[in-house]
Amino acid sequence: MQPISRRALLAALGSATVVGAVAACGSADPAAPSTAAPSERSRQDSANDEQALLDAYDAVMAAFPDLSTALVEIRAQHADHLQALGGAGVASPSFTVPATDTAALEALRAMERAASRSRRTACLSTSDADLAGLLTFIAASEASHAPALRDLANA
Amino acid sequence: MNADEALTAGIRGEDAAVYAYGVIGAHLSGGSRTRARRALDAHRLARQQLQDGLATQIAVAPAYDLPFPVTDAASARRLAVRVEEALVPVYADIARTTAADARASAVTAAMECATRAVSWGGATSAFPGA
Repeated sequence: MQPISRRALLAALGSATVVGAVAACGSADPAAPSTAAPSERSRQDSANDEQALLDAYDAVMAAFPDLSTALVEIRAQHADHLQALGGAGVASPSFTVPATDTAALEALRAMERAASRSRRTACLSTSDADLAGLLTFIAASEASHAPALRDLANA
Repeated sequence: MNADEALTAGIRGEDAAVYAYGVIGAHLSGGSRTRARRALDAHRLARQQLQDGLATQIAVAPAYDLPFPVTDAASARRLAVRVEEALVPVYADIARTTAADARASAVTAAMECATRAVSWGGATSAFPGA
């Protein structure tokens, strides 16, 4: 018989509120007036960044079709990020595809690292709690793309 | 959920992670074992830092039942992936309910957990652990 104080490991790690938080952000009307200007800036900057990432992945997949199978999943995750942020991102500078596939993967990896840092900064400047939760997930997702891209480059 | 509840969940989650990595490390060798050791240190430090943010000492379990038997390196890595992924939503809750330094630490921790999950062989996700 187990001592009563022993706990199931994953129950100790369990958290129920966050899926709702992600959903709440995803359903937000992007056209609705913002109640907090810094939060709207955090959201819009993040959406713009997601669009820039989508454009970069599209450009790399077009230039190196062999990478498409591996990259399409990560690209889809950025599309999910953009949708959760309310959609409607505008990418400013266009992405120049490097000459080799290895260099292209390294360029994407650098973008992901910068993006995760920017999501973290945006998270710290927002007064919207649910947006802060969503940006935490996105920062974590983008940080984790870096080792995945490194593995692809080394494959 | 308020900040104290989120921080308490963080302490319990990190405690579970520390326990898990004790098991994980025992089934790994070489560079993987070193990585597990570093991860254990990171989770132990995170547990302490979360506790430092609370006025009361949070009670944790003396031991945990693992979600599946860990008998070799492959199952050890699988457990590491599960633990790291599960911590991301815990930190998202802390980020939601806190501000300033506590939130900054939470986002950094979430980034590190998600990165370790992928490094241990986990799949990437748009919302890790959610």
